[in-house]
Amino acid sequence: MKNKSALHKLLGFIPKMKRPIKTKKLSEIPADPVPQVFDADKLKDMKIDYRLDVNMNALRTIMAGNSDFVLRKFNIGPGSRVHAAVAYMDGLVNVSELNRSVLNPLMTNTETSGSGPDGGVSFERVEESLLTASDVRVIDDYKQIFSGILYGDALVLVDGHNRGLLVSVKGFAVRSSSEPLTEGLVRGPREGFTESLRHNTAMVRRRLRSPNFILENMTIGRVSNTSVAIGYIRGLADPKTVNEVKNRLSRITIDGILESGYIEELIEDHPYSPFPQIHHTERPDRVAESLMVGRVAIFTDNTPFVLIVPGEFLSFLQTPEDYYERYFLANFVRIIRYLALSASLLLPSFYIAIVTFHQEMIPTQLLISVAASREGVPFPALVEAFLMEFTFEALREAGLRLPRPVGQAVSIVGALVVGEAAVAAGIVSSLMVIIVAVTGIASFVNPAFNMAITMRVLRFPMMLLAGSLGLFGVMAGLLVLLVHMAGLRSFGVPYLAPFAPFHKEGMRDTIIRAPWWGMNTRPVEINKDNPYRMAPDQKPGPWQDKLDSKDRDLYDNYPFKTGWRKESQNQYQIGIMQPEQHGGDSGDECESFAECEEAGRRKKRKRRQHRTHKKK
Amino acid sequence: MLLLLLQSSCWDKVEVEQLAIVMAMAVDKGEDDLVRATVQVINPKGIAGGGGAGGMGNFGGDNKAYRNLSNHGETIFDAVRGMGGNIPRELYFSHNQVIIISEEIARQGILKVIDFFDRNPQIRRNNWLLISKKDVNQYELLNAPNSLERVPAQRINGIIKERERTVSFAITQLGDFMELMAEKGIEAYTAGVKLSPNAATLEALGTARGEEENEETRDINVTQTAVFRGDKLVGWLNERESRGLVLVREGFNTASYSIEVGSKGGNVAVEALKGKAQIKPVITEDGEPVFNIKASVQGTVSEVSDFIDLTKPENFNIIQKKLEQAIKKDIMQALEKTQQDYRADVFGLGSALYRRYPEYWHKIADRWPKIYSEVEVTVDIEAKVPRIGLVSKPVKVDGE
Repeated sequence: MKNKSALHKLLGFIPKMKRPIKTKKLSEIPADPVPQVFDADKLKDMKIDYRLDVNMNALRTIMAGNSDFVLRKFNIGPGSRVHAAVAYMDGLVNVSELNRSVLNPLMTNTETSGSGPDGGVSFERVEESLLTASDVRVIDDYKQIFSGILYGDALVLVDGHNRGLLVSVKGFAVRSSSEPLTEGLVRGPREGFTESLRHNTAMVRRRLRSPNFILENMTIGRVSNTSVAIGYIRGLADPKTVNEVKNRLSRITIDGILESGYIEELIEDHPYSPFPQIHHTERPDRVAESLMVGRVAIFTDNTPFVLIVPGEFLSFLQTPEDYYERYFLANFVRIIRYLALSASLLLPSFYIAIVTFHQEMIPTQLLISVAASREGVPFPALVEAFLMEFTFEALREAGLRLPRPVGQAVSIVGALVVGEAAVAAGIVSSLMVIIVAVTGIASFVNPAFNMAITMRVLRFPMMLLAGSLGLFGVMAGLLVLLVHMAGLRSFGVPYLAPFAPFHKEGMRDTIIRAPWWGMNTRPVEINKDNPYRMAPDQKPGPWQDKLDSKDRDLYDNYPFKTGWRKESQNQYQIGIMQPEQHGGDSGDECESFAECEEAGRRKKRKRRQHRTHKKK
Repeated sequence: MLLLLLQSSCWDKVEVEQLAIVMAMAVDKGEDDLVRATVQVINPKGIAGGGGAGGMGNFGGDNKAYRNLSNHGETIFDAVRGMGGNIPRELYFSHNQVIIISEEIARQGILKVIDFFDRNPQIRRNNWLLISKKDVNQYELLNAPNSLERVPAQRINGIIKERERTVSFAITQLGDFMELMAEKGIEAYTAGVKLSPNAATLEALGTARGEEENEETRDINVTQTAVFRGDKLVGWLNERESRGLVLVREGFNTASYSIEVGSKGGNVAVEALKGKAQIKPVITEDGEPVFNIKASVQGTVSEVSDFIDLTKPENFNIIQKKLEQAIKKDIMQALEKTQQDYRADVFGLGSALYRRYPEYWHKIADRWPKIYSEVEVTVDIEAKVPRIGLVSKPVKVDGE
């Protein structure tokens, strides 16, 4: 029966079609043998074999059923007996690049035959002189194979060698960088992050061309194997913070990370707090700026949003533009922003409280206007406010989700129906429409979307408090919020810094910011050991020219705490903490930070003792 | 916690539209020894015109901006609460601006009625206290709107706020009035209010359409000053005397004086600015108190009705001297009247004495009203006229 011809088979098959088709119950269908799952541990234990066939079979078994997996066997050099294979994922590699730098040099190479001991080529020769790709790594187990080819590398295996070569020929479609949608600026770079981790880190690297900008890689996600990079500046970032970030990231065990939001929720300090404690940004310049004050960035592959820790309250209310525009304008905008922040949280509740409890608190004329607009409204102010706020939030969400042309239609409907018709019908008062509109606009002023949402959500409990307890309730609510915020910490930094704990130095960059020449310290709480970011007395003016070399020298030797040190040839070592600088002025030899700190403390103690002795 | 919030459940919640906002209150003597209280409640829709009429055409038309309510009662509180039967909303006094008390009640003793206003937590101490003159009907007074201010209460309030333009009355707020009444060495005073026909409107209407007197034709006139001794009204100071009183008590920013200068009887109007005064008590060797009132005024020439060359210093000196005399006359007249006719120390000479010589004051405190009526007061005025306006020499008609 086995040898039946194809025609036979076909003929035998046709009558079968005429039979009534028996439907099988689900339980009767024989189950597939339990699929073999290859997890990281298993792959790690599998080493590459000497025999090419064994390796190829293993690869086929592991990748069984994958339509985009390509495994090709070839000979090195024409007429050669040396077998080799290349494996890659279709769509992740640039095929022409692969041909040019891997297949072409290997297959057309004529001098190889007979050069090796078994008539083949040595592995080293393939690696060192035949492959023309720039990034080639030698690996020896299957885990590395898969982490490579699944990220767009090509694997080259040579028969007779128990090692493989990963050649970087990545070439997948990536969106090109565009202007960030969520953080628009008037003045500032137009570049935004993309979904490619490498592009993103490169954008930051272009801004921080220092060997001290460190990018450490991690992989998170059992299935997704997402690449995550931790970026910081060595010497500026608190090593404790960096370690803590690494620690928390390594604790994550999850199937997949699709967006940095997963990470944010898994590493934040206070998971139940409504306040965001970690920044996310699409702007490389913002990341660079944050790194330079000692924060740590977490880049996640496949998302343009980069996380920045630690995040304290005030930093959520600042945009990079605050530092790009002249301080005069920046401060004006900042003050507006703070007012808008309080309005977005409190305006409706203040209105409710005053209208329902404290009519004596507003001027007579205003009261009359309020009363006139409330005349004939069937709902209490609280219900009215909830109605309108709900409508507004729903409209906003609708406009966001719908395709853009339809979204505009929604906003027109919203403006006309809710704005005009509701007032004309006497369902809501015109003043309430104004309040809701102003609140809405105010909440859009907030530069950080996550903080804006927090305020928007907290507005509702505040409104309830205002409607039940009046201004007393609003104040009580504010106090609760304040106490809560005072208790928050983000990666060791108090949430309300530099207000609580209070730092005089930090005040230069809070509700208003000092001009750059007056802002020579970094945020204190983030950077305790290394406070100075610029030399003092940089206020521009003719007097700067009049300084002779002696004066210059004086300024150069200005007693900075650390971080600014005069090196040889008048070079500043900006922001890099050398171990011997850390502890004190000089002399102490120490190798680790801990030792340095200990040395510094010892020195201070001595100095103090010395001083007290003098006094006596 | 949440339950606690819900349990309290807005117990003192009142929506604005359920409030009847009282803007003015008037108290008069009613029938049968009862007190008659009148309150003026505003109608927000009528007053805010634009806002109300914007979307709601059906509420337009002749919506009156206010509504007056009146009731008799044993006490004011009684009367006010009695109004509850007439009005569907809660009377709300926090925005009350004017309290008007009739002269009749004031002459019998204002304490009887004023306690209600002082005690009520909703009524503020900065309410203006006014005495309606004897022949004034309070109903009419609170029913005299005009097209600028549609609520009479606001009209009165506006007049009082602009009092510095024409200083013709001295007014006190409720809280100050109470203090003046309680304090020794000073007596209370406040302004009077009356209705007067608006000649301009009346004649125009009368000739053009022959209509009768209506609301538009009546002017509310806050004028003169009621002088109290204790809690009883004893008499009035006229406009000129009131001006003197204001200068001594509070000082003023602008007040107009017209003075006669020159041989031909030309008048010069001077706007007196920055009026300030100080009372200085001195005890003579006989142990008698003597007072010196020192006032300083700066003036601006705002009108000259005759040819007077203002570039000449001697003319200036004349103007200054005459201005000093005019001011002095105001004060002297007011002093004379309060010393001799009313024996009420509204100038506060007694309290000035007390501040300066507390021990001495304690000795004579009981006899003060009598001493006051005979005490010697000198008045020194220092007037300066540094500004003469845009014209230094008036136009001289040729051939004159």
